[in-house]
Amino acid sequence: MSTTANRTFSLGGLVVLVCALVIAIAVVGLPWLALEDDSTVTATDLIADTEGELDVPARITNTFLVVVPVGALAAGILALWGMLAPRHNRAVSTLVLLVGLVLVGYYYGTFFYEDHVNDSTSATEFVRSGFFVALVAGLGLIAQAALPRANPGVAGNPLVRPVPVEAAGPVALPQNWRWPFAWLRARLSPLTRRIAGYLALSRIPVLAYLVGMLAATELERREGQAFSRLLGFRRVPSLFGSTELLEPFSKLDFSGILAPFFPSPTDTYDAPLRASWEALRQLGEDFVYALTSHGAREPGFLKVLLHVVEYDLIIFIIPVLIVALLLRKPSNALLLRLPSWAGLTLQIVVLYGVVSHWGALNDYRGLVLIYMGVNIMLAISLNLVNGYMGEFSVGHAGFMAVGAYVASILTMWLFIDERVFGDAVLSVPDWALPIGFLIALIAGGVAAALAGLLVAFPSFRTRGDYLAIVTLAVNFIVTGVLNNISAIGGARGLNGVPLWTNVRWIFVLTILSVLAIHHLVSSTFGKGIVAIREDEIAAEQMGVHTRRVKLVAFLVSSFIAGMSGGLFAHVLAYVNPGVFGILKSTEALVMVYLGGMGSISGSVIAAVLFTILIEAFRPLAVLKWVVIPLILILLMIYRPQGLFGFREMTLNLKGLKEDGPDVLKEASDDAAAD
Amino acid sequence: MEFFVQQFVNALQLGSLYALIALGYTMVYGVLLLINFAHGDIFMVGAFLGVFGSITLDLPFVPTLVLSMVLTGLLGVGIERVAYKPLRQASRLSVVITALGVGLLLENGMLALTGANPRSYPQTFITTRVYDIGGVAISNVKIIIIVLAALLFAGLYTIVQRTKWGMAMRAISYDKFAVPLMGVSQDQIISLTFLLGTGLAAAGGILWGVAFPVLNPYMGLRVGWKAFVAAVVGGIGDIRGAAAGGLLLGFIEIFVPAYGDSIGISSTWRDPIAFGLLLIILVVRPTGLFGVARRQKV
Amino acid sequence: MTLLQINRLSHYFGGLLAVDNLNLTIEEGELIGLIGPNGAGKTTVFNLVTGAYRASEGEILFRGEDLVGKPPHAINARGISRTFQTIRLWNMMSVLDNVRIAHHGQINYTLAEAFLRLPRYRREEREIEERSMDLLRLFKLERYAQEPVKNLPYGQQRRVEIVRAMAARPQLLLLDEPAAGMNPQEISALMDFIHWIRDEFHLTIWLIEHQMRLVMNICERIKVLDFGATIADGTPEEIRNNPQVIEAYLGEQAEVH
Repeated sequence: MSTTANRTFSLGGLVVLVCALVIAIAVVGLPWLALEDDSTVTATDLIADTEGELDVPARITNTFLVVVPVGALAAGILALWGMLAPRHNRAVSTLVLLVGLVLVGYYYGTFFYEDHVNDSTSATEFVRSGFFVALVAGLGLIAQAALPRANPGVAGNPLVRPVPVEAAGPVALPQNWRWPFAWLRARLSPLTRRIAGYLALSRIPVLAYLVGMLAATELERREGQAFSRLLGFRRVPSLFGSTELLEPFSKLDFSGILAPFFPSPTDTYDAPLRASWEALRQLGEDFVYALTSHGAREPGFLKVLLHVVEYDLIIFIIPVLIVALLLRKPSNALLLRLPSWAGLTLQIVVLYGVVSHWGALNDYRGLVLIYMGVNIMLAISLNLVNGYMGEFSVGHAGFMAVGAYVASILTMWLFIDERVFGDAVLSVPDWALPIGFLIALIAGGVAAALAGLLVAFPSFRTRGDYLAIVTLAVNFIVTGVLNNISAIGGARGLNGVPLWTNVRWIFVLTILSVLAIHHLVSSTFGKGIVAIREDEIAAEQMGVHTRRVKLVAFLVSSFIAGMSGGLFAHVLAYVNPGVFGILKSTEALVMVYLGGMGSISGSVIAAVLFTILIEAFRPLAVLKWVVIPLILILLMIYRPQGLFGFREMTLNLKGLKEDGPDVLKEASDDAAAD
Repeated sequence: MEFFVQQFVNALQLGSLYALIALGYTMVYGVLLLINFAHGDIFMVGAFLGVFGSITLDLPFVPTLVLSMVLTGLLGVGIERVAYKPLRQASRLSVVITALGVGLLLENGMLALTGANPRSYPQTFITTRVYDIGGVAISNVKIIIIVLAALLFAGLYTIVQRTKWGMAMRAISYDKFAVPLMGVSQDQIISLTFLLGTGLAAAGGILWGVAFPVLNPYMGLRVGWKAFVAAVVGGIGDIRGAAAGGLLLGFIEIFVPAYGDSIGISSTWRDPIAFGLLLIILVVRPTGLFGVARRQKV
Repeated sequence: MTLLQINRLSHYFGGLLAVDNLNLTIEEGELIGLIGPNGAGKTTVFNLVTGAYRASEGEILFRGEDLVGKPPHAINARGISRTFQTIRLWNMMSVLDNVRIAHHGQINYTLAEAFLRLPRYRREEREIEERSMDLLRLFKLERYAQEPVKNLPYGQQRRVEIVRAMAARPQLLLLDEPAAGMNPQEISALMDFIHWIRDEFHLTIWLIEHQMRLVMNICERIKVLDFGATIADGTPEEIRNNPQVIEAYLGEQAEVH
């Protein structure tokens, strides 16, 4: 039994090795093959030739286009899979490999089959794509081989399984030979450990990364336009290309599949089964077209994917890494010399530079940044109750609604002239308006905190499911009451909220909220919140004033949610009760559980990811809310603790001492422990 | 007086519909301690399957009802097997969140796969007749709904109280670790619970579609939450409580606008009032009308 | 001087009489045992004293002040601390945090000071941390300070529970079956340990225990409960020879074959 397993894995390893060889041969051999008839074309020429001026024989290009990228991408997928999901089983990794092969084979195979590559097609266009894939694959392979592991067998790399006990001993060496990677790793490990220790990305101070990002955004500002046109984007990719990615699928229509079985009074279907089959067939056709659609005006998904990867690698990832690596030592030294508050302030300032610089490119980015901030505030405030205190609040959007309405009513009533409340009650000079806005936001937060009392008081007596129901009821009551007050628009909503929220406001308030929650939960008083989660009876018996702690947790949580609501209202310009329904609460829950309970950094990252995800899924329309719940369900089944359950991301915020070899050793041990 | 009787019948109709759906919430909670937030959307699927039976297959009322109950029941069992069972050892929150996700998946999946046109049952499904009893107009639809709901409830009550299976269900809610040791398969009992609960939701869905003939993929959202309130008000986990809570909610929702208009409470207030009632009951009697508190041991 | 005086204390769970007319006086510095068969109501007495339950009747005077009706944290702040029959630590948190949180009653800073990390907040947090580390050092647990408490072996968790109880600077320490799950050697060590705590911190200790060896060896006075009622009270020697106690533990002679 064990031998079959070994053989399978030696085959897998062999495939990767062969693919690596193919890449190497391709890179070296391209000029040689292209030079069949006396031209002086080289590989670099081919890659750099974006205008399609070079004339390469179709036969050669075809063979190349199929063999090289397929091999390269297969190798890359396999290698990356080995890195990303070390614990998954053989069947899954085989499946991934097969799917990758089929997709890529299909993509490039069509050219071959349909003889699409003719004189008018720019061959180099495809060559370049293939070589960027090969680049990624090569990086994956290097990382795969180089990644130091404490115990390669136990770590469960699909390619490397532990040697069975009975097989160890005299035959161990030949067996090792059958696993190219085990062998390679054993040979390379002293060297790679040093390299990995030197790179030790998690030990680079955040400051260095931030400066890198600043450089990357500056690079994008200068070169982004030209580069994205080069890649065939109509404009600079707004959110790292994520919004462009699913655009090809926007025309898919699923509704025909089941509609024939559930006809509405106005439709008639003679043969529902056939109609459904026809819709399914059409959908399949559309899907394949959306995936590949070469030659058409709109590029297919695979092509967009490649271009997005290229863009992000060249504009963002590589510059950030280079700058971060270069600045590692100086920034560590600087941070160690500064007092901790100064270091933190410096990092926040640089972060603001990155955010505002990045967001200044277009209005859409600014808007997404504001949504991100609102979502971060929402997620961390909900995490305080759900993650740290272990309660289950499912109606968080209710507090957001209170904050949004109170803040909007105040700004509209007091400071501006509009149709709902008439002229401004106070005539404030323009320079004082921000103060007014701040006061309105705080008032919204306070009102939300008062609404939080509706949950806090029942929480003294009930917990668990019943408290969850209370929060739900509060959400419904808030939206229900708002629906019924006609003075503020009722169900039609409140129109004409001034557009006062901008990136600066959202940045400052988000940072303050994160700091406030961090300070709360790291104080002895705030740790009482966690004690309530862990064992409420023990907490109250050991002197924790549980009612007070719960009150504080609920008030702080609903206050921040209310502030986020106020900010949200002042970017939407139009609020109605429907915005703050149970769907919004569910979004907040998704962010908290995606990021992990009891983890601020997890919530922040999850909120950022979720905001981008929502934007990325926008082209899918209805399907968006099919995909998001699916992600949630899969997350709960396969990783119920979220990205960072009950722990924080380790960030080097304060600088680390650079002591030569010791640091390296420690770092490589860290990497090995991971 | 006629007005009152008229409203009374209306309330009875709405209340029995809520009760039918609330039963599913409460049964699943009783056995798994899981708030099955997908239940309202299962109700929607049941109503849609009624369209499938009555229009596409051209079946009369009763076979459509049975078909929908069976298919929806199987869907419920399938959902439990695929989405909830892998999480039986996980924290209860994960399961509740999964349930929220399944609910969203069902309603949006339905929307994506069938389009947004509203559906309704054919005219011939139930021929409406209106009887005039002492000045009160009562349609046969209302009578059918009330009687069917009562019959289904009685059937369920008998199953839970009198049969071996029902006993096992009640036993699991007390101790889910001991019951398998007594030779009862936990999985089978849970599947049966889902089968019955979602089957009743399907019946509720079809009856709802008959009474209020606009079906869309989001219909389960509102009704589902309302039925959930009913289950909690009655004391979640207790099937008599679900019936009582459903009826209570039905009466509130009908009588508040019926008599509240004169004192300035319009019908749009019934949602906040229903949820306000829920809040008050939870604060005053946290375990609902029929629920029994479980003392936490120090 | 009298530390704790319990007068006519009774408690009902619904219709069940769990504690029946209990009277007890504990002098400062005493080491007192509370024993009785399972279900005799021993832990209920502790729960009444610490405020987990509110007594149905009677009074509990601590330094002359009635504790009935006071919330648990207030009672804890007055100097009564306890451990639990089954370990109830805050499992996901570190040993140090477990001890730190038990200082809750000694926090004076306001919430605003915590948000802004003002000087008083910093000073108090530093004091709490130093004191927690001192306690851990005293109990030889300092090397586990950063370890999540759930990773500790059972015996060490029991020790952490006692350290946590000491964090509130109690005058009266209630130990609920401290020897549960221990082997004879560990029990011997525990006896020395309990004596040491009492002398080191000048404490009064009241403990519930089933291990007769431990109770008989270290307690100066023992009270025996059965079905909520006191059936005996006295020195270990008196208890050992009390026929009622023997009956409560072994049943009537006729039933023993």
